[in-house]
Amino acid sequence: MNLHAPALFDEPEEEGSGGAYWEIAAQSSPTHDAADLNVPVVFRRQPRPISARQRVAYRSGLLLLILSKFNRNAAKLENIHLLTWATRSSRTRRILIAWLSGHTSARLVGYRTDPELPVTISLAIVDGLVSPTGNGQRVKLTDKGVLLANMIDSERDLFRLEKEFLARLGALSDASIARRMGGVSR
Amino acid sequence: MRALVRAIRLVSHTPDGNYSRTIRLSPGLNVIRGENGIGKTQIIQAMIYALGLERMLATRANAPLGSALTSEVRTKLGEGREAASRVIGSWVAIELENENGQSLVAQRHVMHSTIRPDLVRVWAQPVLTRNIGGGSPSDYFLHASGSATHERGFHRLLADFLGWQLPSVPTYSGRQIPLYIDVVFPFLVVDQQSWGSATPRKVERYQIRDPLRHSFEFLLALNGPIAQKRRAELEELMAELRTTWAATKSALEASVGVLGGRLIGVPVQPAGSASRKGAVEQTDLSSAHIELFRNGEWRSADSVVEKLQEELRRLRAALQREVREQVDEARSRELTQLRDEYAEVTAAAHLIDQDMSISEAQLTVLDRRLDGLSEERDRNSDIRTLVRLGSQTAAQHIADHNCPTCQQPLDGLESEHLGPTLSVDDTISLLNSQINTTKKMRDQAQVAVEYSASAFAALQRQADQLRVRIRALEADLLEPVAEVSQADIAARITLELQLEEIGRVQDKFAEGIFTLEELATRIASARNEINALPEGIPDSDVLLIDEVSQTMTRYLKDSRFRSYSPSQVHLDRDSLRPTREGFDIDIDVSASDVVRMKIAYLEAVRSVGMSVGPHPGILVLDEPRQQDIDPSDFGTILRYLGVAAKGTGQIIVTSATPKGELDRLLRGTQATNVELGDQKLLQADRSVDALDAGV
Repeated sequence: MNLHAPALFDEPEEEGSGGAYWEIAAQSSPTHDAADLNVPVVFRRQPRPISARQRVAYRSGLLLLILSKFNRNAAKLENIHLLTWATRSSRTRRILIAWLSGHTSARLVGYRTDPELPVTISLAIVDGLVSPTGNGQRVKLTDKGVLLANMIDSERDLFRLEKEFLARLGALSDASIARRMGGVSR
Repeated sequence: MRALVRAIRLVSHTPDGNYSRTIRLSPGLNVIRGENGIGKTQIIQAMIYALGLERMLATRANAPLGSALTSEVRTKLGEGREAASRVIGSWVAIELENENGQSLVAQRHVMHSTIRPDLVRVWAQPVLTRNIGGGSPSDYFLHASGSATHERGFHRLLADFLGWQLPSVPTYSGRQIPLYIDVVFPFLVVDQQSWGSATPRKVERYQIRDPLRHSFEFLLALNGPIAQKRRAELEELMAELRTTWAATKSALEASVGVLGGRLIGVPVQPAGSASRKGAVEQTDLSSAHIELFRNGEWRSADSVVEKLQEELRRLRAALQREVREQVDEARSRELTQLRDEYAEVTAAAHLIDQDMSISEAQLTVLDRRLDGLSEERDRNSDIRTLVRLGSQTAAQHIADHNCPTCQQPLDGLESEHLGPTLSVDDTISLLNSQINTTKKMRDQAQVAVEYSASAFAALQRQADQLRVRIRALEADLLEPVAEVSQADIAARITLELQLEEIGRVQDKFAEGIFTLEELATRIASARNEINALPEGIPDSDVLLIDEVSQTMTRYLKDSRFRSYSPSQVHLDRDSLRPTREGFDIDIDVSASDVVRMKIAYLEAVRSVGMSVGPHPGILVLDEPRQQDIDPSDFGTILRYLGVAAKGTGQIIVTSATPKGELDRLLRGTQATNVELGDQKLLQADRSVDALDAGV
């Protein structure tokens, strides 16, 4: 009686079934043929794509949205800086939420600014959308700004992520941010 | 469903006795005439109040009712003298009749010691117009949550009486709420304060987006919103079915994975799950099967089972003989072979494991990149919307991208002198192509991970089986020869277990495929239904909107609209309001033309809505002549209203036009003239009123 390794199937090759295992392993790391890359390379001067957050329209819109979420539509410059910075990415959003909910471990560096913000505010002031108050330390939406902010608010798909994020922060005011950030140096 | 106002009754109780008035109305055109200041507007206000609709006029809850119902009743004594009596109780009531001949009398108290104003007493008999006992009323409530939906809510009763099924509409905060009855009624009732605008009063209190458009769509039963709603329902169903499909598939994969096998012929999602035009054929799952990894190759589960059964039969025959031959040499050769194979299998598994970790890391990176790219694309689309909103509010720097002070382009500010920048639209298409590429890379990485995972599991099982055989063979080589081979017993047990396991998984598979086939059918039919729904504004709606538009223009011509040519005014298909390109109708036309436009618009909505939709056919116009329409034009308006209302619905107009003049204007027009004369509206009344509940 032949009790060799049971040949359930026809043996694939002489060197045994091991070759097939290697093949399987090799298939999961595909390689590319370098000959495909043998084409002439031409460089042309192209307009550069820039991040949406650099665009004036986006920055002004965001400024109005943030101010409209504040009590009486007005906020301290440092708080506008903080919130503008925080809307940047999912990471910054998480950090601010952690800060505001009092997670000390996340408080390593507390001071955040958005370098583009002063220019954005100036443009909005000239356009009559916001006006400085409180000795230039605070910014407030004008009637025209409130109108545009309301329109921004009523467009459901506009600033979807930003609105969700701001809504998660709850009621916003200079005082509430100062209280919730507690000892965080900003 | 069509309806009529049969009568309106106003009652005031004073220490000097009761004062009251009942105004009876007929189908067709009714003109309520009376001198200025005697209380024509009171009648309209009483009507609005009796129906609990006063919130369409103002946000405050108090009814804008006149003093005769709230403070004092004045009566003329002659020679210009008047007497005043203090009001100690008052109520108003309205009698409606609908197409089915049902009556509804709603009585609401303005002042009463015990009956609250938010209670409406309702009779189902025509107790105002016919002197029948009436029986006891049923009580309904108003102005509390549920008054539009609760069984005892008056507005629910009113909607049912009118045969209205009010749709759900979105609010500014994205919630869905019913289109409340007081949002629709400004299309039916024009109060004296709302003649300043050609469009009906916009009721803002519920925060409904585009209340006028939704009311128009409802009154004309336009198909667009119905199709939109059905589309939303189907999309929701589709999302649910997709999730069930994915869950069923992954459950199947998990059970197949226990065998180290893989699922073949079941797509990630079936045909029709993604939006695509054209007819969708249901995904065919007849070729779906399980593949198992055997001896370095993927084979169908059926052929594996066949081979295993054959082997099992062979082993059983060998064991029954219970005789062992001298096989030590052969066994040790086999053992060496198995050990080599074992080493190969574990090395290959290790390599695959490494690959899998790399692919998984890649997958995470690609997922994060995809999130970032989509977020960036959303922001760029946001910019497009912002530019539109910016131009609507004259926020210059947002709208035209110029500095509001020096009028220079703001490009430099954005790019920091890096040269020309890509336009927002181009950026979006660039991002879209990046997203596409990244998605493809992600799909490849996903396939690599899945492939590695199933290959790894298969190799591990192979290694397990090899280990069992190696141990059994090693034991055999150490034992006396004349016994039944441990290796044979082990092999038999392994085979039996394998067969049992595969059988179990195949049963589950058959069950799962049945579920998936059902899902595939439902998904394909839902997609086909979605594809069959009209896109944008359906043709049938366009026809109706155009019909309203043409009717309105005709009436404008008839009533001698002068501000510009009536043919320049049309109904905007989006807002469903009268518009002239580039003009604000309420500001750019004369006050009397605003009135002409409003009447023409509402009458056009009434006549078309009544024939195709749930518009009840009632239109109430309070003092349209106050805006100084000259008599002959007012006559033309009354004439076309008279023709329009003849036999179809009811139009109620109040007017202070002198009696002789009005008679002349109405000559040749079929109208019911309700003459109030020059006496005060409420007159002393000694009779006993069955509806009266005292003070």
